[in-house]
Amino acid sequence: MGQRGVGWLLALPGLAVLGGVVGLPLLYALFLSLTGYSFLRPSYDWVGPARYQEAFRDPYFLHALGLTALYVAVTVGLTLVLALVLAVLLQQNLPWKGFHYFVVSLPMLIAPVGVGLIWKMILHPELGILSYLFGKVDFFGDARYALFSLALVDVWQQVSFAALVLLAGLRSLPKEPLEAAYVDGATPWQAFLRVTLPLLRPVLVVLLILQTLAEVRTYDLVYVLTRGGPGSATDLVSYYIYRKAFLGLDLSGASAMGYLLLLLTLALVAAYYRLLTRG
Amino acid sequence: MKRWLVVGLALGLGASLAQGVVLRALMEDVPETRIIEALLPEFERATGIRVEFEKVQYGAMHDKLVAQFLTPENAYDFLQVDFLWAGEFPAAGWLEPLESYVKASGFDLSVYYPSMLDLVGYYQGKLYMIPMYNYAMGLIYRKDLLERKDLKDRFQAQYKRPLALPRTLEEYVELSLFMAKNAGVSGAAMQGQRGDPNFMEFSNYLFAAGGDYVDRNWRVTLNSPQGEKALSLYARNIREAAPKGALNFNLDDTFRVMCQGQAFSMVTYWWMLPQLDDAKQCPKVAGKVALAPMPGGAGVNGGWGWAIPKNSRNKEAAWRFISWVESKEIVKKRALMGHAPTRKDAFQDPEVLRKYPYYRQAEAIIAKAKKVPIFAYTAEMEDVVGREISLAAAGRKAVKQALQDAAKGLEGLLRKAGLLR
Amino acid sequence: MVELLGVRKRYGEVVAVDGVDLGLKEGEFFTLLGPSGCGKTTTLRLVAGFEAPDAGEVRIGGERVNALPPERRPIGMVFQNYALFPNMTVFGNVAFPLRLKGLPEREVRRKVGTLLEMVHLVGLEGRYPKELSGGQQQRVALARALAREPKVLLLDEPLSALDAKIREELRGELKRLQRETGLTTLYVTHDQEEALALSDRIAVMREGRVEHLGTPREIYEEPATPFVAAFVGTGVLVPGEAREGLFHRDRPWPVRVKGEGPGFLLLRPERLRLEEGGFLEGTVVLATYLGSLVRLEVEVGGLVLKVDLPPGRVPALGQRVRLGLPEEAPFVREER
Repeated sequence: MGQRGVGWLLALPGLAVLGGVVGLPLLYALFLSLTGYSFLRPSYDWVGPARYQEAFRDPYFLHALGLTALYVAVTVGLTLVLALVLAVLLQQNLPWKGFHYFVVSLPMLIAPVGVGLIWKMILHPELGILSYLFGKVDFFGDARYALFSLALVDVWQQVSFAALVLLAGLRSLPKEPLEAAYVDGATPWQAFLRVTLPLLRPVLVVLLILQTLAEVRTYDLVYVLTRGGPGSATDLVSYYIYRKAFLGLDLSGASAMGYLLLLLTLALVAAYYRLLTRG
Repeated sequence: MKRWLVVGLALGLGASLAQGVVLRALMEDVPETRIIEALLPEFERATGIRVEFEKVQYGAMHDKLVAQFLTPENAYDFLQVDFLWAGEFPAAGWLEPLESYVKASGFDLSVYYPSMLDLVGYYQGKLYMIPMYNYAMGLIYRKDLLERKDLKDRFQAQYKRPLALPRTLEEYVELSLFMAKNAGVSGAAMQGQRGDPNFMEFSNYLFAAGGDYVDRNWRVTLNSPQGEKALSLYARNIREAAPKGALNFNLDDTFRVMCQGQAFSMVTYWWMLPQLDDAKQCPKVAGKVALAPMPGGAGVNGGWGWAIPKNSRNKEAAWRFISWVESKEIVKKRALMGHAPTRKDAFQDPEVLRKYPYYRQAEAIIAKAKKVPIFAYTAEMEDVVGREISLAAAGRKAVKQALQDAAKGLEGLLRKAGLLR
Repeated sequence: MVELLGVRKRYGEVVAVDGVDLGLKEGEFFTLLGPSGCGKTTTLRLVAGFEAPDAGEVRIGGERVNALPPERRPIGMVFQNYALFPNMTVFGNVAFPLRLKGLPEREVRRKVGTLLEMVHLVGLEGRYPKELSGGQQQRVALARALAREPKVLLLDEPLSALDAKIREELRGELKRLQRETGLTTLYVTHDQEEALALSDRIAVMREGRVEHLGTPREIYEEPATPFVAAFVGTGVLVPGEAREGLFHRDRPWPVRVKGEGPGFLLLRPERLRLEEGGFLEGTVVLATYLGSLVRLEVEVGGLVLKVDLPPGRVPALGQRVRLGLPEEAPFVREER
């Protein structure tokens, strides 16, 4: 057996588990999406691409897709910027460092449903502390603000993980190029923009991928905070697909939509990946 | 004939073989479940059958149950069916028909209100469930505000009639707006979150306005003048008299607002009354709240029923439990411990009424309550219609258009379910 | 040009620089030499401005710079690990300080061209650092450090990451460049040979203090302390006493020394010879072939002395030999 053979052999158990846990359900879902299967009529009658065509004709699904694109852009963008600021601050030699770390990691340690419930009370328009302090704002009940409010809560939680990843990235950067930049006459801001950020790019791109994937899957916060409302103002696509499957009992239709979402997400990740490998 | 033999044999054998049987059930994690749990040792003493409850939040129940229905052997021997699933589960063929059990054991169905058997008993003429619990909807309001002198005078001056409980939906919304303007509270704590909350709430308005979703033959009647009146009044009330944020409120939110004394009224489940009337829980409003039927008509009926899954391993033992827990004696015990009954005899029992005088109003509410369409896609109907109600209430869609779209969505679901051609 | 007056720096419990006074003359090649942890790098970083002194004063060109950040000091610096910007080409790296200054692009091009010529890197402008050898990378770093036309060039062990051969080559070039530009240079190294070869003056540091400051010749030939004597060059310190101009160890040795009292005689291998009738007698315990010479280790009454011989007739191990002493040798004593 050659070296390659041994390599494959060693990878086999892992690949088998991965294939079983990820591969099989994916294949099953693909198969389902080409049938008319529903919980009420659990039969695998072949319908071809009909469920996909239906999805494209469903204005509420398309609305959910568009809304999700906006949501992902807002949350990922905000998360990355805030996380970067936090990471840079945490990197300074502040007093009470351990305490700051603890506080920043806190949101990450709370389950998303818990985060939703906490913020639901904080942002409660009648009884919430924020309304008490700054006057009543209808964060989730006003269709104009609801998506943005949802995004803020999400960012509050996500920024924790992102900041710690970026901090680890910052810590692992060689110190000398930065010092060299200072000696070369760069102000801290210039050094950050022209040396630290480019050095941090691989970490940033990986984080971009992780965050995008996490945000596309946003479901729990919608479930706890808005149920997709008011109207359809926060009807994100993952929540929409969930309802298709478990309220509509339409597993095949939900699978088709899930596959469309998967393809879109893969395309996005591929684009990010090129960003990572370029240059 | 053969089948009857088998059932009879099974029941006979069941009595002798019951020793050592353990029944498992999925139950909602609420006080009522704990009341029944406290009585379980009695059942075990009488039959030797042990019963174990797996208690979860409401939100987790449906998906858990569906998953078990799809396996060859159900992990649960009997279950609680919310009326929202009372069309879906039988339509999918997941529940055991109960007529034969009722006949064989001589169980008396006449003690239940027809509205309850219609809701969580029969589906398409066949008995699948035994009513267990009722949560019909009515109006909870603040007595003290109706009796305040300054409000009385101002109301009289403005409307040329005395301040009193409203008799119609228009009067109710009028009163709600009046309270919002003059009493320093919201007129109505409304649960406007899309989906189950706003669908259930709006349905009361619809029934009160004399409208309905479908007729006898499942033809959609939602898009009617009555429907338009109901949705207009609903949107007006939520926009002008409800607390800020009501468009995203669920039941808990409305309860909190009401409990804090920040609203005049709420259209809600009648079991809310003892919660609000509890001086420990809601000191600001305890003693000041009362229950009434939905102004101008029927409220929405709601409830739970007992059922046995078709793939249960212990159907006979499960039926023995159901007939025990719904027996006159146990229902009265449950009622005295605070578990709202569904049997008429318990509602009219002097001892129960002494403890819970408002059961008189509750009984009236239940007797008149109407059900929303219960069929395979009831949950999806709540979602689709709820979305349109929410769009109209938020002012994002005209009332007419929203009603039309809701009706169209409902029709599509009825077609999908095979109820309409 | 650069002055340090009573400079101190501590990190928590550790005193890194403990009262250092230095003065670099204009155009001087000045080296801080010492083992790791002696405070030489911290001293350099204090001059660069990466650290602020806890006490004392740092001056550059007569101006007190204690509070100035690095980017406002007239310095250029080369780091041990090159510290090039991996995301920029050779041209981009060298142009970086010029662009920060806001020079017009044409001027930038001209200057970068001149600098790359100076370090012999013409033609590699478009390469990225990872495509260069270590030596080439350090040349880029040097060009970049010079680009801002600093008043002082700081070099932090710039050759220690390189192979021996390239190290020597670059060492010569460094010296040439420094002489051509006449730039005041502060050089940090732990390699005494490098220090002796390059420097106009050397400060030998130990535990945060300057132990000896002088020209390479002074340091080598008249080390101020036993530590300096042992650290710079090769040699054996023979404990004894100086009395009336002669070294005593049990008996007077025929070696003239300066000073009086207990101390050490520094015997360098190149100053000892094998000699019939030499003053000391001992046994050969080791012979190490070093190419241009052979280094013998000879045990003499509990001491092991080192003697350099031309490769040729080398005594066998265990053989008894006699050693001739120099007429005069450094005598060092512990200060304090």
